[in-house]
Amino acid sequence: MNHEQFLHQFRESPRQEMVERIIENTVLKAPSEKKQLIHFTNSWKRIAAIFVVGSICSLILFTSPEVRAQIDNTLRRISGILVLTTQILPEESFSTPQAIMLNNTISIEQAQSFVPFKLPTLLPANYEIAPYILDWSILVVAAEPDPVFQIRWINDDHEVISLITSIDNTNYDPDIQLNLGEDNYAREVLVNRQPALLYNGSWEANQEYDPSSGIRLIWTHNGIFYSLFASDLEDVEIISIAESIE
Amino acid sequence: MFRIIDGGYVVQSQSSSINWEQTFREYIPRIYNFFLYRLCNRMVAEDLTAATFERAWKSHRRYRENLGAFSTWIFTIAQRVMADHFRREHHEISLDVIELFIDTETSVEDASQHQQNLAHLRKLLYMLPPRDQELIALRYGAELTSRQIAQLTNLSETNVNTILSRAIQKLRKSLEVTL
Repeated sequence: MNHEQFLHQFRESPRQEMVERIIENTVLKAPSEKKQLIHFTNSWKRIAAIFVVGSICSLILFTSPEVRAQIDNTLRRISGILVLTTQILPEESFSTPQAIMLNNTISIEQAQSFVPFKLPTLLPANYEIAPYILDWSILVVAAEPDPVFQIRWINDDHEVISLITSIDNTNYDPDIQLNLGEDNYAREVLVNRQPALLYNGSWEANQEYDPSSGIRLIWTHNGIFYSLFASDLEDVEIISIAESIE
Repeated sequence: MFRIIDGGYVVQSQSSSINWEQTFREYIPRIYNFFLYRLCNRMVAEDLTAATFERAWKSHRRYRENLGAFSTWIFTIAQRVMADHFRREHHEISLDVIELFIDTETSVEDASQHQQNLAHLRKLLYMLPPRDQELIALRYGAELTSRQIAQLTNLSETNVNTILSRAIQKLRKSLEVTL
């Protein structure tokens, strides 16, 4: 016996029964119909789960303006790309400035003490409160029972910012259908984390809607309806002004 | 050439060229003896052998001939099965339960002495460091070459031979002293 021969003595043949059992449980074991059925069922379960989750996400996306606005806002901050656009159909209009009847006027100090909100604190440079009618800077219409205020700022280039506020009796909903014409669109944005609608254009004196005339942001907060117009500002700027209103 | 199979695995159709039954029959004794040398227990060796081939069969479609020898693949699985076993059992094997190996071809008179020698040798093997036990199990149980062992253990071939040589000398001396 050489120096390592003794180590071979421990080798032994496995029991034939064990060998056959292994072969039977592996190589000779065809996938059973039950197993195939499970595979089939699992595939359908996966597809069904994906379908259900997709449906729920779609439902949330298309029924919740908050979600859409949040997604828009996030994507805009990340990449500057607007992916969700709300197409506005010309079916129903809401009150425009031209539809409001002048009833009374008050000073800006009176207005500030009267309204349950502060006027915007953040405005672009060179904008100053402009006389609206005669020497009054704030126009108040329909004072009883629900006053509507309008204030305007103007700069040296005659570019205008105007804010209209009223008690929210419009039942405003971001999905409200505005009479903006077929070629115009609005997009949902966030003002202090609340959904708002930002759209192009304004009504001209002849009550024609001009989509190229400035941008308007409308939203509600604490029962107050706000409509902020700027003749020459970017989206981000008008949103910043809106967020400075408490 | 690749194809998609159950479970989404992407495999080479080359693997179908293997005669799995024949290959398994060839390797079952080697895997079994690997466990037997390493664990000193027939029943556990059988269970782990079965577990090794069942695990191998589950993933046999992923085996690629061109990436390595079958022996390396199957013994890698066997090592994992054994590692799992040690993790479960904490490797608490009492020397008292080490089985006696019975050589059925020896005479009745010799059987008793042979049994005692083998049992004693098993105890000596068990007292070797785990790495030495592993190498002896791979060399004499699985009958792998030094090169194959080196591939499996990440040791150099020279290192494998040196460790094995020292372990064998140690075993022989212990055996001669005690017999």
